[in-house]
Amino acid sequence: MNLIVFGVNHKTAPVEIREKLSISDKLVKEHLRMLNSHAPDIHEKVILSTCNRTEIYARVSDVKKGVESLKRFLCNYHEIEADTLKKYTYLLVLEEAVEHLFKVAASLDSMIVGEPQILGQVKVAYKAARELESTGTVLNRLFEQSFTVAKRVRSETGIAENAVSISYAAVELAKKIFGDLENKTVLLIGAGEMIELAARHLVSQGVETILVSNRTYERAVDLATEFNGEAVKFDKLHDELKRCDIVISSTGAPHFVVRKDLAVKVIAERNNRPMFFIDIAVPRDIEPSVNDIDNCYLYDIDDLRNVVEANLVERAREAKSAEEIVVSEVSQFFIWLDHLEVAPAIVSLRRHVESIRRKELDKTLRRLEGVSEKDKELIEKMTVSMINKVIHAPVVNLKKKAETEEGHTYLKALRYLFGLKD
Amino acid sequence: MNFLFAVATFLYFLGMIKYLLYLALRNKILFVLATVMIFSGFVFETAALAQRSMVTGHGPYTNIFEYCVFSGWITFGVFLIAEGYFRIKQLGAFMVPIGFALMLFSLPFSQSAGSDLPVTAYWLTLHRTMSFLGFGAFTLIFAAGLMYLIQERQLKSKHIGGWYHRLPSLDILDNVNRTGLIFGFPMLTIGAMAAGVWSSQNYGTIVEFKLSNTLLLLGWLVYAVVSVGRFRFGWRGRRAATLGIAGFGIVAAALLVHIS
Repeated sequence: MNLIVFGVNHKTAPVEIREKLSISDKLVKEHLRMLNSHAPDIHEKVILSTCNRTEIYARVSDVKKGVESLKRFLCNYHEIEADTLKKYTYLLVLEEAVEHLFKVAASLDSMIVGEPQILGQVKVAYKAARELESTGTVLNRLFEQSFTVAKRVRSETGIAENAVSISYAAVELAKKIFGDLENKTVLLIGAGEMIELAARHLVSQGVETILVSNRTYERAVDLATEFNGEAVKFDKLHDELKRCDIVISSTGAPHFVVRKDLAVKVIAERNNRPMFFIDIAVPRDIEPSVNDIDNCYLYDIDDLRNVVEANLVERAREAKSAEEIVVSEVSQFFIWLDHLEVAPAIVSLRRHVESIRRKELDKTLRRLEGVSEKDKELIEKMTVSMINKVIHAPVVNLKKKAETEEGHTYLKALRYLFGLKD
Repeated sequence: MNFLFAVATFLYFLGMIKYLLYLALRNKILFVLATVMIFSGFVFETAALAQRSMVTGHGPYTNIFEYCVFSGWITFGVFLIAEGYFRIKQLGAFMVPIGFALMLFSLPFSQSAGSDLPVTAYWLTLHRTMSFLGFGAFTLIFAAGLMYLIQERQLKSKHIGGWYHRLPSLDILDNVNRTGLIFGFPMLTIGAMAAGVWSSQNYGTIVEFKLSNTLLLLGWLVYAVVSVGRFRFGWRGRRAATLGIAGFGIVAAALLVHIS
């Protein structure tokens, strides 16, 4: 029995190839049906297709044959040459395959390590395969365990704790200053994609009031409507500032919109309640020395980038401890698998020696003359007890080894040495 | 040293190590274990103090040993309440070492003689209890202040590092400072006033100007300034944190001089 992963991901293939091989949610089921009926070599299968990867997880008897039929299948249903496919795909077998799935589910193989969507995508892929009865004992167990791994990684490491996008980094900083963001007031000065994105993040964190100001009042009104906020006339900006806890600025103004002396005044009016200025404009909108005022925090676009970078370093460190979890879970899985395989292996070992015994015994008995029925029985008994004694120790030891990480190696060795088939 | 005290000190030690490890490694299991250790240590010390008080017939505040273990007990008590209330998981790494240091400091004095002051006089008991409770609150202010200054440095300097990820928000740390003041300052005031009353009753003077009293008065003045600044003029943040730390330093020095 063998487990394989065959496919492409963002590390091995450029987007032109990935888009050719990608299989939409709707088509996944059709493809699974096709594999169910046309690829008998592949006993169990799950198709995982996201924008960063298309992978087929499968249980096969023979790796070569299995991969061949997967290749044929991919070439037939996607407009791709066999040579091109060969160049970009990878094949992982057994331990590597299991480890790969665990890493994928735990978001360790993602383009942005720790991003949360992938686990959901793995779950959807597994559910689709299960509904079509494309999976069996082994893949069911494998995928269920991958969800456990993902959960453990999430709760035992800080891999997903820190923001890795600029707009989310701003939210994270705001939380480090204000604690929770409920009842906070945000002022957006100017417009643009970044400012809207940051505002959206803040709203999802429970920010209460959004004020929008723009040189063009109509645009302010538009944006304010979108966020259920209030539009503020640009010349009234200074009066409104003292209401605001968080100020995000992104205007095209060639000069500072908020100067230090203004910020000093506003902070005093606010009774020193902290303010967080986020300046994503270039040239900058807020005088840099605002950061020197007590209880004022100012981050410009470069500062936010630095935060993101620091967080990425932090994630990489957390990923290391996550990989330790993956390694221990992989060996757990193989202990289970060995248990599953031990019984059939022993049965086929018994069958194998029994058939040899039978054959040789018949041959010998035919040649012997003048042997009484009683003697024949004695000879028969002797052969039985001989083979039982011979295979006793291997069977007992194999069962013992199946409890350990080496179990799989011993199983493989047993099958190899006795020439047993799967 | 009494067996119960020894067990308590050992548990505090284990808890302290786990809190420090938790700060470094951020494994939640360590945090849970640490809290369990400190709580168990606190239970043992409570039993030890109760037993001692029953034997001696008065509260545990008559010699250096008792001062130390009692202020340690208060520190751990305040810490457990604060950790439960504010849910700041990193508080332990800052506050527990102070409590443990007090326990450790008491060790060489476990056989020391009692002071010659009366042990059950009403005003003295009030002075001692309130001063120790105030001290516990100031330890909390100190720990939160330290965390505040570190986190504020991270945010202001924009050099985001491990501390940024580990420490909680400035808002909650400032909130601890505020709460600590609300409890600590009145207690210190009552404690000092009770001492004044007792002194005037027995020596005919409210304040005897020796080093410990001067220090205590200075510490009280610092806290008075922060309290007024905070609740009257809206001081907060770095200024409140810095003054809180300074006040703790002075009060701790006063305590040290006073008891030795």
